[in-house]
Amino acid sequence: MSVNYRFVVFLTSIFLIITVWSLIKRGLFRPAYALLWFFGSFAILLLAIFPEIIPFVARLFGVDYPPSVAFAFGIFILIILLLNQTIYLSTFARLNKELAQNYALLQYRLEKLEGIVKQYHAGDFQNAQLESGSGEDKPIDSGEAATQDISGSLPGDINLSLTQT
Amino acid sequence: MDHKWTSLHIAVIIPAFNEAGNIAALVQEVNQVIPGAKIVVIDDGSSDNTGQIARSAGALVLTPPYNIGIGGAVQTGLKLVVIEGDDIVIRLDGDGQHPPIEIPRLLDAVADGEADVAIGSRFCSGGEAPPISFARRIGIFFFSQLTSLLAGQKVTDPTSGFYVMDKKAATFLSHNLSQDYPEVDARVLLSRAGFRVTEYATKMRPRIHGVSSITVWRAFYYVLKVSLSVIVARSRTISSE
Repeated sequence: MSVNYRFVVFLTSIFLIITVWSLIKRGLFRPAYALLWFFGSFAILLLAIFPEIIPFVARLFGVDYPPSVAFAFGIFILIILLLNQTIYLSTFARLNKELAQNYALLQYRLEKLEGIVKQYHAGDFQNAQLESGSGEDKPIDSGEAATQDISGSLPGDINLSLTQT
Repeated sequence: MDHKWTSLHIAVIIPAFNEAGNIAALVQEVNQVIPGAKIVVIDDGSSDNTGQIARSAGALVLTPPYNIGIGGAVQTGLKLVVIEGDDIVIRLDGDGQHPPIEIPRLLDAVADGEADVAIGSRFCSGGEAPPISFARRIGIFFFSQLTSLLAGQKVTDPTSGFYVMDKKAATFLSHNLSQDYPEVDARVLLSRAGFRVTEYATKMRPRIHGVSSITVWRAFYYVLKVSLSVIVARSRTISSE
């Protein structure tokens, strides 16, 4: 590797490290996700400081054209980064779906509750109590799933506030 | 009519995406066939007034804030009926292709304990050949072979979304339904979990209004995606929480 070329690689890695670092500082990059980028940047820095690594690895694997080792290395880092991105993307898609589902369920329960409150205000206590599920209908939060998923996120004193009105 | 299920809490979940032209008639039909059933329409990010129409037709409407796919929509409905503790859950497509008049046969099978999940099939012996294209027929033949192999039982209509299931199966699917092409996967998942799934010949209707969400040019990609999905369903971790 020529001195100039080494210098360019060195600058590139420094540039990457500073960029990633400033992105983290500005809150645009979560540290946990930045780790892989740091690994990649430091690996490039390592190559700039110790360029002998490339011919050494080329000899080790019997590669005829040593610079291709550098390309292979770069592609390898990109593949790892992309795999990582896809994992995050799938996770976010799942969380997003669950959020939308819980939103729809909570909205439904809120509308139901508003109906009951309206009936209370109208003085129709009997119907309001019936609708709230104390009678033949199963109360909406009787299931285990409800107490885990949804009821926990609602204030427990809804009934109390109803009687105060 | 003397059916075992008249005393049971029955919920009907209907995922609907831009079905303003079909949904009201469907809700009314279901109401006639099973009076007193809880009808839950999941208005999955429609840009028309599907939800509003369904509500005025007498359905309960769940409204995810944006489109979450048919699997996600059905799962939302399943979560609700599981929370509310309904005994039997029926799932129909929002385009009206599953005639409610066919529900009682499937419902009888589940209420009598003949099956945990009863599924309407267009291709079961005794059924009438539906008006579908040759290409689609080939696709369905391929999926039925693949799904039969992976589910370990004969599956004639793997893409059918016409389900009647008991509470346990509904709970199971509320945890495990896949987001994108849920019906095919569900057959494999249900059989892995040991549920007794039976198909019954039912007529199905071509959609009345609007267009199907699967277009022809996507068919090939669809086949590949569903194949991968159903093969994964064979080994995917099943959640039972």
